[in-house]
Amino acid sequence: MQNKIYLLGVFFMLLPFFLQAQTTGEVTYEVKIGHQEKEEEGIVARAQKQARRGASDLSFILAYNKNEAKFYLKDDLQNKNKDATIAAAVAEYFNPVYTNLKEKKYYFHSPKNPYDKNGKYFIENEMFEDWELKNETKKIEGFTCNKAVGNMDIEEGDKTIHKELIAWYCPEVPVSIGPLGYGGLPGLILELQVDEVLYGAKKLSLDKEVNIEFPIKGEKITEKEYLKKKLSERP
Amino acid sequence: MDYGITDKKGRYKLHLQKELAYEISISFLGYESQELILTPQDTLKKYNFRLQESSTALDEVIITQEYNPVKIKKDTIAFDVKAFTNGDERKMKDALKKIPGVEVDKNGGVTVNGEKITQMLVENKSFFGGSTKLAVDNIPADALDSIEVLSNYTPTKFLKDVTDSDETVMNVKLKKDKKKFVFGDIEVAGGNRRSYKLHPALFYYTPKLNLGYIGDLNNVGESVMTYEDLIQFRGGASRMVKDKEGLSDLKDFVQDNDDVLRNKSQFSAINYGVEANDKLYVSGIGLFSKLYLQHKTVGQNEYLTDEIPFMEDKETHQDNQSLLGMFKLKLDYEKSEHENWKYTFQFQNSAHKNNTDLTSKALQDSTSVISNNQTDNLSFKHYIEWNKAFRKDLKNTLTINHNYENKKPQDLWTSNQVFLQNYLPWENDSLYTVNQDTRIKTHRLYGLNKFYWIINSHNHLYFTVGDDYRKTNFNQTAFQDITNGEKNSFAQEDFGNKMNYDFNDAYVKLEYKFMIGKLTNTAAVGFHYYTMKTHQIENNTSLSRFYVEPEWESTYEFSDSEKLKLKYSLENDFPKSELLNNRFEIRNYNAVSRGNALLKNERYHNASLRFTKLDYYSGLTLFAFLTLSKKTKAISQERVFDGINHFSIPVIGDNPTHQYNFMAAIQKKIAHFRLGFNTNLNWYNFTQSIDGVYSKNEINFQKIGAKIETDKKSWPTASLSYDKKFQQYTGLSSSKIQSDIFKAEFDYSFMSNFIVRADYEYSIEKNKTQKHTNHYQILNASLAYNFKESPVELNFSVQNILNNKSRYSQSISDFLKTETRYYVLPRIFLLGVTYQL
Repeated sequence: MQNKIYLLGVFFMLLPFFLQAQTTGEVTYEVKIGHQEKEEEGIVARAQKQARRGASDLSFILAYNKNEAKFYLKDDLQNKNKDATIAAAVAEYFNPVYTNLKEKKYYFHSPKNPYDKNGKYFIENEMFEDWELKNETKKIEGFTCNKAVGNMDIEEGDKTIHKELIAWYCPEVPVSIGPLGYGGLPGLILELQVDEVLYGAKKLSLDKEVNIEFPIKGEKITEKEYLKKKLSERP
Repeated sequence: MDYGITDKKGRYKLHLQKELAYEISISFLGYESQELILTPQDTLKKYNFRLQESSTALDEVIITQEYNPVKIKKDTIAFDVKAFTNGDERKMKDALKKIPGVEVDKNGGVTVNGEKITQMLVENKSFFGGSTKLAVDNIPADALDSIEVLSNYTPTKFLKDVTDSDETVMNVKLKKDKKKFVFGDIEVAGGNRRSYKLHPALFYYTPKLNLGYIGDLNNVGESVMTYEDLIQFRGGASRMVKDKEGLSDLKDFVQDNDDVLRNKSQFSAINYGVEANDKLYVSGIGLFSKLYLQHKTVGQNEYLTDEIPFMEDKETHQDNQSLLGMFKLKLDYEKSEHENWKYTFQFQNSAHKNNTDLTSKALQDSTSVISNNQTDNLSFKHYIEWNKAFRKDLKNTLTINHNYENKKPQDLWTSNQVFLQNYLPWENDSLYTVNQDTRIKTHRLYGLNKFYWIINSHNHLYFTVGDDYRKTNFNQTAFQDITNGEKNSFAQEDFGNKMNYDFNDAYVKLEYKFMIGKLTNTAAVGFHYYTMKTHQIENNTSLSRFYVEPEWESTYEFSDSEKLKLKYSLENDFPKSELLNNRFEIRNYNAVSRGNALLKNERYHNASLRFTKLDYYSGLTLFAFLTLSKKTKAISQERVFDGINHFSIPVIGDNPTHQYNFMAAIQKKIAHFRLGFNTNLNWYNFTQSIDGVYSKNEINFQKIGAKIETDKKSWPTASLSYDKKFQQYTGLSSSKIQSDIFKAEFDYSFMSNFIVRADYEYSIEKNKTQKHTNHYQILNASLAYNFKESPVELNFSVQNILNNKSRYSQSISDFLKTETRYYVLPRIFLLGVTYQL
């Protein structure tokens, strides 16, 4: 049996040009919504159908530099049709996601809802790190991607929400990020599937200069606290 | 697989293990990636990669690839049946055989990518207790929609992360064709020698209710269930507790009985499942089986009790009649996603009658004995189990089991001359009849509570408190039935037993499971307090012991498909009541035994090493298994012979007993063939006393085999195999036997309506010490024709085409070598029709 080792270059000194290329850039992602193992009937199934339709209208941008990243919807959701709004909700995107790569944390403003009309919280989340690297590889547009899978459990009150993750990351692009707040893999995530929702990279602009500003607005709160609040504030 | 990142200057450091081969791949955007292969022989300390710029410009890349979400569910493989079948398939097994990686063997066992399916579910519910044979033989192929294979299966989802399950389960999803809730078929066949077969299988499925019925009437030696099926039917114990009890009393029901002169079998079983509400599921089985078997054997026993062994010629005619009724009820209550309750009740009643005419010739004596045995056995088992996850990291299982058995064997031996002459206090008579009535009542109550603490994903701590209590009431009388109606009780001569037996094992067990990289370890220690009490006619004994029982298990996963597992445990085994009876008991027409109330526990070390590699894609499967067992204190039988008659008593000694076993099998796909080799080597050595002489005994067994099979869908399925077995015994005398078995199987569908099947076996048995050889051959064949677009299939089969009269087998035990010729069912032609609903 052979053990495979991936060695990723950083090469600051040798390649000053790539210093920029590798630490700042922009990736465009599309989203696709697949079928659930158990597709319920009625309202949920209808929403899923709408979301599948609306997903084609969504395009996300991941901008990143050395320490930070921002993942956001290309055009404002307000301008979109209802199907697209549902698609974004199914894809679990509510507001731009800011990632602090050093601290391995990501943030976003709480989604607006009847009891939090303005989205007053700025929610802090831990980046998912429990990836299991697999031996499988596949090519995405000439890039060799490796597979990683993860099982995520989120506790919401007395309920545990379980999520299955499949990521295809590309060691040739040595940045540890991906869509939403995901990352922490030895390479850019080109394809990410969270349960039935798939984010796939459509365009890579790898030397584009980006500017990311962390918002200051909003009450900082951890995800756990937020979920607790959300449950208690529910009318 | 692993990865590393260079520093800013492009420097890197890798920690590699010796004796391993590595493939190092370096990649960086805008440069061609490079690879370096390191073999274990390389002594390379430093390596500089010089990257070449890639020709493709990379400032902007547009990805045109289509993304497609996959259906995810961990540990699951799903097959859409219609993608693999063409509509010619009749039964589920025909459809399964067409799915890549799925194999169905002759006994209805199913493997997927080399892994054995341990349970069969239909629509996520257990099918006839989980039997794969009943499912693949009975579910019509056209009822199947898709098939899922779930590995590491546990019925309680929220305990998945804390249960090590080796179970691989197949779940069958039925077609959602609303009109077809009833499906099934009926097979009718008849032939020469008044042979017949009737086999209906009917199923009714709705989302809330499912019913299944399987019936069978035949006199051609076919069994409907396998031994495993019956074990699963009986499965009256929680999975949390080990239940080692065997099934000896019901063996006849599950064997394919063609080693018989006559055979008549009646079988009826129903399976039911009702979804009472969202949370409660009620299911179960009802089963009735009646079996009549007639055996004839001729054989020779060689008593290895002296330097010059002596022979006994033996001939038996046996009539067996067995009746079995069974009922099972199962309640599954899913209180919430984090809590469930289970209750199972199983009731069983069986009656077994055996009548054997036996003639034995040894030395100058010839004995004819008729033995009659009738055993009624009534038992029930039930248990309750409660599982709860308090938090994501704190979980608990509680189970309480209760078993009850009332067994009444009645034995009667009759002869016109005295047998067991120096053992039984006979009174003179014209006909000598001895009667032995036994009543054994057993209660077993055992329960445990296991608490799981998941410290983090790499460290688990489990804590178990348990108790196992057994109570046995043993009552036995032996007497001579004198023809004038009087009874000559043997009680004065120390025959007959009366015993109350109490055994208790109270324990706490601590398990720590931890993961280091790809290595998973479980260290466990159990603290057991054992008490054993017997109350008998002559004396009472009581014993209590405290033991620490350690266990260790390590699993190293090289990859998803390659695993090495090491296991060690130190265990204590206490004697059951039947070994402790301190008065005489008649075992057979030539054997009397006594138990020994002074027996203590056996102590043994067990170690095993298992390596598996299942690389389905390269077509290689490899399996190697080594077990070592050493008993530091072992129970052995002391035997005293008087011609063919003997007396035995169990004793416990400090003479260690060793057993080593090595098994390996390798299978590789080459072109359109699958080639396999397997071996099984077994060494067993122990000390035994025969006629007061202690001797070292050794029984060794070796088997090697090879098999080649076709592996191409458009070809006929054909296989050829050859097995060679050796067995040696050395003790006071020595003996050697060996056998060669050739097998061929053929299965071919042609012209889309015909299926032809045949199997052939040729076996040679050699007795090395006596220098004689026996052989036999068996050939079966069948031809089926199904009318296109019609539910009718015609089937013509011939069993035992060569009209072979007997089968032959030999074996060696600790003092006896037996050679037996079994008379088998003669040639049978059967013509049958199957009608599908």
